[in-house]
Amino acid sequence: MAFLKCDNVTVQYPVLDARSLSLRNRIVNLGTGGVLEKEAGSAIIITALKNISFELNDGDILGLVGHNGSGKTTLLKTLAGIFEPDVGSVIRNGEVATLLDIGTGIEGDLNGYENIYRIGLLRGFDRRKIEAALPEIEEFTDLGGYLSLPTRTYSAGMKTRLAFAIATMTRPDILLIDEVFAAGDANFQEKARRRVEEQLISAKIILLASHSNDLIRLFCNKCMLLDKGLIRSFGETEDVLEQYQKGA
Amino acid sequence: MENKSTSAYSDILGGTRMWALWMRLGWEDTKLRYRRSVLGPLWLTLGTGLMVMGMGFIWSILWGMKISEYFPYLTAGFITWQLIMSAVSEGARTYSDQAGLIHSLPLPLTVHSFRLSIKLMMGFAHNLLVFIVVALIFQVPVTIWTLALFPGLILIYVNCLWASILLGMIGVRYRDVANILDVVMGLLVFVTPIVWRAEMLGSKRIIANLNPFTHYLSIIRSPLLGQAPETMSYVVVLAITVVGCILALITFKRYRGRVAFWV
Repeated sequence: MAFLKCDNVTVQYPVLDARSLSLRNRIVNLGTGGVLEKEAGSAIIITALKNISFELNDGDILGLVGHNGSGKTTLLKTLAGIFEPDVGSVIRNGEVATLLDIGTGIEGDLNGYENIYRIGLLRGFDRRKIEAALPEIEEFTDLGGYLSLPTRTYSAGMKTRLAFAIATMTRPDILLIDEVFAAGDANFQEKARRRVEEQLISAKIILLASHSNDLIRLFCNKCMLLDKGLIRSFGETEDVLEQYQKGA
Repeated sequence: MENKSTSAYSDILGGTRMWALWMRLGWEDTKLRYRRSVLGPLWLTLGTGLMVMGMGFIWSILWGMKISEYFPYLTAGFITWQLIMSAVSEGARTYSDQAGLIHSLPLPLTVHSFRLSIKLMMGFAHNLLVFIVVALIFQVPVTIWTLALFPGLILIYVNCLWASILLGMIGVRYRDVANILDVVMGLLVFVTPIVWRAEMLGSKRIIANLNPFTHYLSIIRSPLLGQAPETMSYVVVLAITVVGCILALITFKRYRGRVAFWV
């Protein structure tokens, strides 16, 4: 049984600009006996998530909604283990996969196949698993001979198809998705949707952050509205979306 | 606290387990630096070869040393120095250079350190070809001490790892550090016995011995030349390795979770 639990999670970002990133200010601090401390010593801190608690179990498909900067992506990254919460804890039970920034790691001077191995390994799969997934990726991407060419020769749409196919090569228990349908042509969007739907069937818990209410309505049986890092409401999809639209 | 140290150890363990990944990435880094060129990574070899040739002729005259003696000494020292210098300079950029990956995939952080360290060793392997050519031309003897190269390289690899973890974390928090280290290493190339011999300092030889890099050079250069490294060099390198690993581990335990916010 898969479950995902967030217990009173708070995540704070320090904003490190050149001023606070550099040693110079630390050294100036020493020299001036802390006069400049206020300015140099403390970085601006943004609280991206505050006291977030919830629990998801098998069969939960949660839509995350909220305005830009409300904390959706930070929440997904914290759940994935990319960010460590300052306070609270995240408990994951089951294999987690992310569809966050799906293009990362793709190297333009390597060909499609080399990139499949590269990204596959980066996502923690072994060689055998990648080889087993190859025919499926070939079929999904429809790239044919292009897979033997460096990916820098691909169009943006082709790149998205490849990235998406690699990112979705497993059947994880917990799937974290951040706005992946935005790119690509209509044909790709349709295919991508079908592929995610396949995963939705096998994945036990899904979180989907999106600005498309239609998409959330289509897939999710639960919904969470985030506002300035706080959970504003959490419950039935329709109720939450209604509240979101009212607020907007 | 308990939680933090468990996650640090599982990071190290997880990073070690992903060897297939960092070996591949390390090789791709080496290969891609010379992408689309005919020679590929052999440019590394060629560049080092030309450099050594140019320096060797002039400096052997300046020092009044026999070419057959000076060339192998210079080559062995120079390729080892390149490895050490990159370990420091690129080590401080380990995490800041991997911002994209750190922000989008939950990888163990140590993967980036393993990747950099193996890439540096691959660069050394390419430069080693230059030494092999020089050694064949000037008939550098192969002795029982040549075998000391292997434990020496293992020690260097471990040092690359801790330096990349420790300097990488400091470098990602304080972006000036990498630049400071570049400047320092640029100075050290002159005060470390690479193009000159420590013995040339005569009674002031202690200056060379106080420089830890002298000892790092010695444990690689001497075996390459078929000579026994000084015991003191092993002692110094081992001591620094132990202290370095401990410092890296303490820092890693404490700040591992902050790196994703700092990059």
